[in-house]
Amino acid sequence: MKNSTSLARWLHPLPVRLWKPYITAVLCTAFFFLSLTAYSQTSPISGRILDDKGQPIPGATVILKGTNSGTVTNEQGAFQLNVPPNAVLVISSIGFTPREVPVNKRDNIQVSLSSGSKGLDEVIVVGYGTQRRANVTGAIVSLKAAEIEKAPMSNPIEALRGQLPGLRVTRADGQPGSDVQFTIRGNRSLTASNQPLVVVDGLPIGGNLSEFNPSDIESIEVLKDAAAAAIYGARGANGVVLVTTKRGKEGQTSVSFEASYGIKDLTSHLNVFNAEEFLQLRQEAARGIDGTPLPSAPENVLDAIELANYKAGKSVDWQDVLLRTGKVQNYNLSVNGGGKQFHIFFSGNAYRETGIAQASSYNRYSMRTNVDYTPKDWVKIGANLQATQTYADETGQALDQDNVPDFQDWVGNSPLGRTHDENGNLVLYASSDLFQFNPLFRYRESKRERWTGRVLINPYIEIQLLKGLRYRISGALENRTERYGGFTSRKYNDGAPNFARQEQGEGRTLLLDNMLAYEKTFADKHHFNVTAVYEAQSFKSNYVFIQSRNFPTDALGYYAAPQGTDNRELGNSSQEWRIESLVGRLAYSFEEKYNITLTARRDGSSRFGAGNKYGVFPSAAAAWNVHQESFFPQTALDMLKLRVSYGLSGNDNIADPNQSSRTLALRQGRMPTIQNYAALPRATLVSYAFGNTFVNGYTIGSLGNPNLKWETSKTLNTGLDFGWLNDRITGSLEYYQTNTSDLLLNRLVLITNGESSMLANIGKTKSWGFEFDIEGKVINKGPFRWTSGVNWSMDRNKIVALTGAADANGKPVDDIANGWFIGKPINVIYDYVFDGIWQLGQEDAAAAMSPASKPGDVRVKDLSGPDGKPDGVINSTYDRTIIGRTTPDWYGGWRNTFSYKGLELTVLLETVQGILKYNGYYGSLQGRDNQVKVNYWTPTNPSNEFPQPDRNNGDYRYKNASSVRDASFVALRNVSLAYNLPAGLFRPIPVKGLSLYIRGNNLKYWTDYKDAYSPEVDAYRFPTVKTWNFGIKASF
Amino acid sequence: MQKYIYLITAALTFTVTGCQKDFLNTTPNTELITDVAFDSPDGLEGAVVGLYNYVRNEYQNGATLAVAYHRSIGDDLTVTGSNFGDDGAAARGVQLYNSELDANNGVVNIMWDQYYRTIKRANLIIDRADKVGFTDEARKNRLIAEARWFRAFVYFYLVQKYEHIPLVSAYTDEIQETATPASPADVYALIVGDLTFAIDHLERTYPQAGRITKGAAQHALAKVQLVLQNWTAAAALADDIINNGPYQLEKAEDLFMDTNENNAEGIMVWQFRNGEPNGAGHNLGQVFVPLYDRINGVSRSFAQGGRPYGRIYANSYLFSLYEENDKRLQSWYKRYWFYDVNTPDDPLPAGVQIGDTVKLGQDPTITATRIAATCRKFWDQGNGTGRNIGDAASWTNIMYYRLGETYLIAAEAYMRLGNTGTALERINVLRDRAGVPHLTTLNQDILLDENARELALEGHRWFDLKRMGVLIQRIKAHNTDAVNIQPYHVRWPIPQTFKDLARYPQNEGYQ
Repeated sequence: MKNSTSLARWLHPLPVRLWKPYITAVLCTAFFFLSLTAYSQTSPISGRILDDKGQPIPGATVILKGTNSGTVTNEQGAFQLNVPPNAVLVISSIGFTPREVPVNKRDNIQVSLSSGSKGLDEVIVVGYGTQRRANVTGAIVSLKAAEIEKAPMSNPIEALRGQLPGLRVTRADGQPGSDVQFTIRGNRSLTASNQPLVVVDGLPIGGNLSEFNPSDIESIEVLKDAAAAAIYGARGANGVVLVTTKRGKEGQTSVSFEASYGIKDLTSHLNVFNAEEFLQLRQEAARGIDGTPLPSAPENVLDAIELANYKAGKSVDWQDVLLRTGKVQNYNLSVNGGGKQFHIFFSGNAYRETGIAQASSYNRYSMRTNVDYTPKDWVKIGANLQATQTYADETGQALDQDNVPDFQDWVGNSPLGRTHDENGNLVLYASSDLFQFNPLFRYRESKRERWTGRVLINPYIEIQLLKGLRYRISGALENRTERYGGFTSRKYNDGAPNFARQEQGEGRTLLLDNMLAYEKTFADKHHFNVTAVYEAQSFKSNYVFIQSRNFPTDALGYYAAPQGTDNRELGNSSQEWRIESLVGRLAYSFEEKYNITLTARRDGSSRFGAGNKYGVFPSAAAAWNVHQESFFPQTALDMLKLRVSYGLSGNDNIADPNQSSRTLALRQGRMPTIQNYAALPRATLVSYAFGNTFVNGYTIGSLGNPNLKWETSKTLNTGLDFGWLNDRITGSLEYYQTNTSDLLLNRLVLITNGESSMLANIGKTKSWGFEFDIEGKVINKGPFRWTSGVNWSMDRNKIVALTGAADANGKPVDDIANGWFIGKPINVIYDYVFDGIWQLGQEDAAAAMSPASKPGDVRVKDLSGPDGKPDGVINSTYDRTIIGRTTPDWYGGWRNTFSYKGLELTVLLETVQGILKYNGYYGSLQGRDNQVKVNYWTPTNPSNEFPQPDRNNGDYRYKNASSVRDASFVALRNVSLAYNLPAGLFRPIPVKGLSLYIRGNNLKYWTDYKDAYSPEVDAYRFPTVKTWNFGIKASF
Repeated sequence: MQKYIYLITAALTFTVTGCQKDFLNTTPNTELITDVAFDSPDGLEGAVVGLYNYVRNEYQNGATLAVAYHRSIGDDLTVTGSNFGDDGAAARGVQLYNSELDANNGVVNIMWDQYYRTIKRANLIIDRADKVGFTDEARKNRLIAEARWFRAFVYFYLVQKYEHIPLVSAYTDEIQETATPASPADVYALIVGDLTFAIDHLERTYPQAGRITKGAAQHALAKVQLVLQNWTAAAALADDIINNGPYQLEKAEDLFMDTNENNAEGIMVWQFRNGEPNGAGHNLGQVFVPLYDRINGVSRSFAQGGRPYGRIYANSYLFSLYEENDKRLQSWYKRYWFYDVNTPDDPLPAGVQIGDTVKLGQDPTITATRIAATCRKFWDQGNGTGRNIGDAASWTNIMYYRLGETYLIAAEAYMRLGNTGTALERINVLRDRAGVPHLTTLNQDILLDENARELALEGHRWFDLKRMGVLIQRIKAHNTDAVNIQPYHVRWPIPQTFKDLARYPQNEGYQ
């Protein structure tokens, strides 16, 4: 706090007239509040809080024990408070051991706090309350605002990527504003969602998390084991992510403003055949077909447009044509502060991003106000309010009206095609091939736009019933609306009429929490913390759409949706879901050495069958702070904590198998939608056209299952936390094992029952893993500091039981169609084993192995046969095998922070290792479309990588087997360089702090996974982008 | 003070935790629960719509396109086209009779599943009809008759294709975990009973086009009687349709025109109409069209076939059976393509004019497969159907039973009875329509030749060859794709999943 003296200096010369109204207002407010609180006899006390080196601790919390009233120290570590003469003050600050200090009628005290073990005194959010790290018994990891802010992302969960052990975040596409996928400790469910529950300030939410401003977030806690997650009962099995937003703090009001500007670009370019190579591919693909001699003349393999361009020496690099530099702007204004009774956090945010693909953008405008008011020292009320609006232009992404995947044209269009005709007009087709659309033309002739609005309101009242006993009632309302418009003009598809569609959806969540919490310490040793909650939540959604074709004008865009004469469609969907819960938790700590937490939650859910609505999810956990024991030797190891927990949690996310066909709106997030009525037998609407008379009716739709219930996960977790060399090195180690049963699976039933499957709780999986997390202060003396932290996670799983169906011999059958094999990991690639290419001279062997195979075709391994040994013939039953997993062997992150005076550099590397993937960019080699450049076989080029091109072969045989690749990578995920300018520089402007920063994201991948925009994004999706952000943050 | 705090807290707690009894019992707002859907006469009327929808579903773009045209292939009159491979193992198994005609074949599985689904839904209607308070007995019997017609229609297919099939003749809510093969005699007894009921309770015409009529039930039963070799019954049914039904032969050139849908020849016609809510078109017209528009100077147009799929063509054996002036050859097939465009992107080859016939050798873009002769029985030429030239889906109806076939049924029945005179009389009606000379003698081979000329690619040939016992030999003789056909290919395998779940015996040859 070196700057505090200069701060005082620049404050001083301010003209008094500027301060006068402010002081008056503060005094009046203070007087008002004082009059409210002066119901009991109190006297003022002031004091200072210092660290063990005598330096002031700003922002330390001073609380009157047994109440909610208290204050926070200012920049000089000083505070003032009105207290009863015999009060006890509880003084705490992050990174220090808290102390309780009796006032003993003093009016001035000075307290020094010692910096305790890192983390152990940190207060973390555990769901329905907070705990000190020392008392935590479960596996919880947490990330604070400072680290979240370093990643220049629009989505707060994406900022967690690579930062926490056990949490794996992936982003499957780079569309601005698109959501991320994340799992905690991998997958355990086959059909239900593996997505963790996300709870924002006590309200479980869904939908795109990009709609939350990362700057509003104080901390994110990840609850990994059953002990921690069991408090969320039927929804906790996938782990829980708790997001806590910033709250106002007493003390000096601070206003901060942040502005940043960033540029986005491809992380890496895709290497496709150029014009000359493409011609060769076409010629090779035509070899020997229809009597075509080789090399075929260009006239024989190019269409008229391509031929003209070829002769003129013209070609198109479609990636260059369609790419641009993306831009991102972000503005944040926040106010944090308040008096003794009233605290406020306010923020406003504007985020605007234009994507690297043309006609793609994402804008977000959000506002948050969190207020807390303590009118009496026994009552506290407050509310959080967030309002967000987003807009996304998805025109550039959605070329897939004809089921052509997004961005296929970037790769597939002929390099000898064209974007404009000889008169300079955009053309619809890149060549004469009526499947090669010119995206530029289509962007002009279409529009896809999406708006979302989200409002969250959580009010609460907290009442102090007795010393240590609090009652809190809180409610939450979340309203999320989504609006979508899609339009294609008459020119969009040659000869097809125009098309318009509008969708509108709304989801509303209501939550009510009643909580009683009791905290008491007996005989200075026995610390009890008891929480009881009754909670009810309901969700209701409404969705409608209209669409039609062939309306008289293109001028109205998608607003013409009701006006067309053809394909008039309208539809709706309404979903309702309710859950009712009782929650209890008892946390007991003995002398801070022994900690026990018992939790139980009873959930009743409307999603389940009549006989199975309620379930109970108990857990027990214990932690032992070994270093507190007298027998613990004085060594360099100064902190050691052992934890063990066991408990049950559930998963009620019955995924909807038909999600993709349901609505366009749902496709965007690519999140599984949840079935709310799977237990009920339902009828489906059917239609028939008797001549010109359309008739609708209902027929049996699904069989229903009245016994349907949640999936249950039983998790054993053991953990160890340690601190070494005066906490210069800290870390933790976890081992867990989860058995998930009653897995929701479609049980196959005989089709003679009218349907071939019904949802039932039948499967079983098992998962287990290790996590490791270590942080060291490598250099912790002098002006140059270096902190380094590594996290490492490994999770494994296997399928223990599937539907129970057995083959003719009574052996349980695998589900080959879904790629599920009993005893094998959940996510595997099951295919033939690529074994190179048949070469000249191997004609007979090739033909014998698989009928119609010849030199130049893909060769796969003959693994087995009907007699259990290789039979010389390739057969889908015997020669496919599990090649590997699509989930990693291990993953982790390495974060380094270097600081020198005001300069701070943070570098985050993320790695994912041992993961297989089909690279969908490997094309058919049919030569019709262009594709990534590969070394294909020809009679004169005996390649062993890719087969001979063949114009008559849509997908060459064993193509999938030949495109399995290792998608392991190391990524330079985030780099943040910030410079905090000395505050004195700006006198007399009242700037408390000013920092400049450069932040980068996804800067580089080191990987063997070539021929893709990144190892993480699937073929033909919006490519992965890298971002460079430049920003300034000032606080006043 | 404390007192008030308790009071406030108690009040709050009470207000907000007041238990709601049915809080967790939510029912869908936009969907119907099964019990509610079928508890009234109107509900069952709607359920019958479901049967039409389920059976027509075969032609729509479902899981694999091969299902839509599977009835037209795997016989002695077809040859694969350039893009046949796009439909994968499902199509190859059916046409080529190779190892891909196995228990996992897509067509084999989809048809089995879809038809047992249909049976369950038909049984539901038959079961509920007596329980939902019909006051109009005729309406009740019509609904039952339609349900029984569909049940018979799909069982007739199943028993011919798979032979050893389970028989489910009553509705139950209980999940059945076992199934055993029924004797074909029992299956046919149910079929005959169902169709007889339908003949007794259905009218000869309904105001709504496409409804199942008495004639459709008679035609179906006549086909069943041919299989059962009840020639007299078959002849009587066919004659009743010919003499008393409201049917007439159309002119060959008008029969399949999209401007002449639901014409007087159609006895059972699958209906497609653009604009049907949640409806979908079919691609049956397109699968026979070669990739003619890849040829320089030839543009894609309705007149030349619309969007080409190039899956399957009529083979040269079929064309060898026609006389050149047969109107059926001229109207129902397109054998020549014409140059119709000359633009920089689609230039005419040197030395030809617009209107000229496309011939091999005129341009490198012309290949034999791109000018293959095509069947136009299912073409939608965009005349009032709302179809666009780029659309694969078309909306023309598919005629499945028509009077032309009834004449062939009658001719065969009389021929088997030894009444060649009447048989020739019946069959020569078709010759007259085709503008070719009368037949003067008749035997099975001559009959089959006429059957090919009249019904090729309409989905009956496989069944006719099978019941005459000549399926394998005919395919061996004329289907150049099916070099591997074996005697056991006379029936399909039982789908693998069903076989495994029910421990059901597999058909011979497919073990």
